[in-house]
Amino acid sequence: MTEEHSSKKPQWAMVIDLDRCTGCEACVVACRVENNIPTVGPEEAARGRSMNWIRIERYFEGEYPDVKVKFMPVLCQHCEEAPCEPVCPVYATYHTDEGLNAQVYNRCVGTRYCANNCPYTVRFFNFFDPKWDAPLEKALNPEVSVRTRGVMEKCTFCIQRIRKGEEKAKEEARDVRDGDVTPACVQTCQTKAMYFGNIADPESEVSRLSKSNRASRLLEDLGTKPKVIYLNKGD
Amino acid sequence: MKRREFIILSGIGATSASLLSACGHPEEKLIPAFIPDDEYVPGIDYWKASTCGMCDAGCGIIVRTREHKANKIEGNPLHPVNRGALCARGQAGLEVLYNPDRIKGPMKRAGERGQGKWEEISWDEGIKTLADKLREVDPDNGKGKACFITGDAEGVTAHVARRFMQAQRQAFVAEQPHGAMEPSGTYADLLSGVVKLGEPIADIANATYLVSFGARFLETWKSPVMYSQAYGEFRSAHGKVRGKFTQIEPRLSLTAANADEWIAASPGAEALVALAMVQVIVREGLNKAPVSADSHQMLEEFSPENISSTIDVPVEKIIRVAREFARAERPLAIGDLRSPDSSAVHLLNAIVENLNKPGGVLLFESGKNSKNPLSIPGNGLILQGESDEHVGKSPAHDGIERISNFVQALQHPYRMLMIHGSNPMFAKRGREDYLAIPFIVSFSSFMDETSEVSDLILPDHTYLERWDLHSSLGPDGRQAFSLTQPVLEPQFNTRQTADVLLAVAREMGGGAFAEAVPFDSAREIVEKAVTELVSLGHGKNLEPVPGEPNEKGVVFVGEPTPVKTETERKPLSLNSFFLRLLRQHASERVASVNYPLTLIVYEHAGFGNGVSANLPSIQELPDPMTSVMWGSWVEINPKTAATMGIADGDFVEVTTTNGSSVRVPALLYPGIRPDCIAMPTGQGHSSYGRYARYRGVDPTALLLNSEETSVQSRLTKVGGKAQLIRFGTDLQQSMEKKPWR
Repeated sequence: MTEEHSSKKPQWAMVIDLDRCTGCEACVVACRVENNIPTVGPEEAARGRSMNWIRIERYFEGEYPDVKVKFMPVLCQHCEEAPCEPVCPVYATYHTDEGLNAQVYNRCVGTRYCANNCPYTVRFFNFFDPKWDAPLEKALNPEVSVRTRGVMEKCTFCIQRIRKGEEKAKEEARDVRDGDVTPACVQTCQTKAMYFGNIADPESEVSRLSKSNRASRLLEDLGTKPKVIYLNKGD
Repeated sequence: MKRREFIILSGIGATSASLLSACGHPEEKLIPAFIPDDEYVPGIDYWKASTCGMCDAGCGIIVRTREHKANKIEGNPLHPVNRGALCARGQAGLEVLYNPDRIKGPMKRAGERGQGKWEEISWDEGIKTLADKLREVDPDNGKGKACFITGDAEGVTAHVARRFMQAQRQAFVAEQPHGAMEPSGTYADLLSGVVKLGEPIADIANATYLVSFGARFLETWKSPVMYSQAYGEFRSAHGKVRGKFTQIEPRLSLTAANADEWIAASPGAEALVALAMVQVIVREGLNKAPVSADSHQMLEEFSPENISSTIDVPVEKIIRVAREFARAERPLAIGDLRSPDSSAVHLLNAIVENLNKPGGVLLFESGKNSKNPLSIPGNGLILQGESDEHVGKSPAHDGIERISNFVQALQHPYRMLMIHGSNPMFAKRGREDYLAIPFIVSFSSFMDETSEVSDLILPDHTYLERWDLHSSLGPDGRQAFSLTQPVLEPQFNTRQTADVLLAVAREMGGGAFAEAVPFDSAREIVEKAVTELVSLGHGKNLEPVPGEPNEKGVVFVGEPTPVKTETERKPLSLNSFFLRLLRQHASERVASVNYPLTLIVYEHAGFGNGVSANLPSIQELPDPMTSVMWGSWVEINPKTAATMGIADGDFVEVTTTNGSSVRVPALLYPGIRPDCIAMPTGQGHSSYGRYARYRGVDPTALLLNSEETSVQSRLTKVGGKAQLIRFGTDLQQSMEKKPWR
C-alpha cells in the first residue's frame, strides 16, 4: 500500500472509547438502516449468515460472582495493510487515497477469499438476493447501493456521508474538518463513545485521542495497521 | 449547563419561525408530502423533526425523507433529552411505519370473534357504527357503561377521549405509563412543606460514585438514552474524575455488565442492602444529614452483620461500599424498586445530602404550583376555549382514572370497550372478562392479540404519521415539550384516533363535548397548544440556520424549577412503619423444595414489553448478553445447570407457583445467582405479524400478577435439543475457552 498521498486528502480514522461503550447495539441498527443491510430471517441466521457490518463483541471473564464483561464494537478496520486486498482475483477491493478499504460491488464475483483472509471477520457475503417484505423497501436509503447475491459487503465508514461532507467542504472552499462527516454508528451512539475524522489533521479529535495512553488497536501484531483506535476501559 | 430557552419551529423557507405565522404560508406547506408536485424537489432530503414513539422517554428525532419516503431516523441534536443520540429501538422506527403487517384500513368482524375473518369498510361506516353503538349504551341504567382505555395517558388522543367520554358520562381509563412515576416517598417527607414532587432526575453525569439498586438505566429505566449519555459523561468528561459505578441486582444485566462492581444480592433484597449501607454510614458517623437518636436504634436490625445472610452479601463488602459511598465527593444512589423499597434508596441519598446538588438527585415541583403554565401529565392539556366545567367531573383525582394493570379495569362490567395504545390480551390476563364484553373496538395499527378478538378495528396512525405534544424532562430537570408531527402523508387508510373521536362526536351531534373541545382535528389542538406555549412568553423565535436541514422540530424548553430544600437541618427521623414493612416484604419470598429457583422476568431492551417484537431488525439484533436472535431462552447459572445435568441448549420446562409452565431452551449464563433463573419479556406472541408470531415464549404469563417481576419456580429437563440461534461469539465456548472452531 502506497504511503504517498496528497497532503490535502483526508485520512479517515475512527476512535472508540471502550470505557464509554455500553454494548447497547444502537450502532448496529443505525448501520443497518443507513446502509440497506437486509435481515436474513431465522433460518439463515442460524447458519451464521446474518450481516452486521458493525457488531458488539462481548467477552466474559471469570466465574460467578466475579464476572467481568468487556464490550467492543467491531467493524471494518480499513487496514492500511489490509489482508483482504491482495487476495481478490478481480481487484474488487482496494485501498483508496483517503485510507478507506473500498469494496466495488459490481466487480465482485464472490470468491469470498477476502472474507477468508480478514482476521476481524468483518466481511459478509450475500448468499441470496436481499428481501424486504413490502413496503419495507420504501425505507431504503437512496444514497447506498443495494447489493445482489454473490457480492461481498462490509462497513464503508459511510462513504456516502464522506462524499457529502467533502462536497460541502469543497463548496465552502475549505478543507474537511471535524463535524463534516459523521457515520451512522457514530451519530447515534448513546454514550458518545465514538469519534470519526481525519487523522492526518493534527487538530482533529481522532488525532488527539489516538495519542491517549489508553489507545490501542485490534490484533496489531498481525501487521494490518488498522485505522480504528480503541481506548481501553478504565483510567 | 447553560440556561437555554428556545423554540425552533418548522416551516419550509419560513423567515418568521412561527408555526401559525401571519406570513401567509399555507398550513399544507408544513408537510412536504402535501406540497404540490411542481414545487416539490426530487433528489433532495427533507428533514422532519418529531418525537420518538418507541417508548415513553420521548426523545427528539429528525427523520430524513426523500420523494415521499422516509429513509432514516436520527436523534434531534437540539432536543434536551437525547441531544442527538438515539437507541436501537428508535433507529428501527421505520419498520413500524412500513411494517408489512400493518392494518391498512378500518375493518369489521365478519365471522366469530377470533376467527380472523374481517370485512374492509369505509371510514364513514366505521365512524357511524361507533357512534351508533355509543348511543346505545346508557351510562345511567346500571347495566354497564362504555369505556375508553388508553395506554398513552398523556397525548392528544387521551385528551380528546377523556373529554369525549366524560361528556357522555361514560368511562375513561388510562393505564399507568410504563416505568411509572417514582413514588416521592422519603423525599417529600424530608422536604416538609413543599408541594407535590415531580419525577426526580438522577444527575449521573456529575456524580463520582454511583450505586444502582436494580435500575437498568443503560437499557430500560425511565429515559435510557438520556441516562446513557449521562453515563458517558460520568466516565470521562473534561476536568472530572472518572466515576465509579456499582450495580446491585441478582442478575447481570447489560447495565450491571458495565459496572465496576456487580453485587449479586438475593432477589428482592435490594432495599435491605440500601438500609444496611445507611446503618453503616450512620454508625460510623459518615452521614452528612443529622439523624435522630432513636433512628440509630431503629436501624440496628438492618446492620450488615444482622442481615448479611438474608441478602447473601458478605459483611465486609457492604461496609466497604457504604464507606466508599459516603466518602465519595458526589455520591448518588438510584433504584428501580416499588414502594416501600424505593424509600430505602431515597434515604441513602438523603443522609449524604445530595438532594438538588450536582451529581445528586434533582427534585422538581409538579402540578398546579409549578411555574410551567401547562402541566401536561396528570391534568392533560387545558387550552383556551376549553374548560373542565363542560364535562362531568370524574370521581378519580386529576379527572383521569388511572389503573396500574388492565385487569383492574375489568372489575366494572362494561357494555362496550374501546382500546387504544395497548395490547392487554398479549398477557392474556382477564381474558374471560374481556371476551364477555358485548362490543369491543380496537384502534390498533397492527393485528395483535387484542385486536384479533375485537369487533371493529379503526386503525390509528403510527407515531411517524401523527400529531401530538409530548412532555419530558432533560438531564438537568428542564421540561421539554416536543412536537410529534407527521413526517410523511399517511401510508395507508388509517386515521389518528383523536380525529376519529372528533368525527364520532360530530356524528353524534355536538352538545357538551363540542363546547368542551371546540376543535376540528388533533392537529388543530396541537397547534393551539404550541401557540399558547409561545404566547406565555417562555421562548423566543429562532431563525432557521442557513445550510442546516430545513425542517426543525418544535421544542419548547422550560426552566428547571428545583424544589427548595430545607435550610435548617432537622435530624432525620426514620419512619418505623416503613422499616417494618420493608422487613416484612423482604421475608415474603420463600424458596421451597418444590420451587427452589426464583424466576426473574426482566424487560428486554429491544422488545420492551413485546411491542417491538414485530420488527425484523430487533428480532435479528443479537441480545447483548446472550447473542441470541429470533428466539427465547432461560438463563441458568452453569453450576446449577451442572447439578441438574442441563447442558447449553437443552429444552427445559419452567413451572411456577401460579401453576403455569413454558418450554424453552436453557442457556448457561455466568451472570446470575445459582438460586435464580431469568427470562426476558417480549416474545411469545400468538399474533402481531409474521416476525413476532409463534416465536419464543412469554414469561409474564408465569408471574402471579402483572405487578410482580419475579416468582418462585422449578426447572425440569425435557428431552431434546432446542435451536438457539446465536450470532458471532458462542457464549458457551467463550466461557469454556475452547479453541475457535
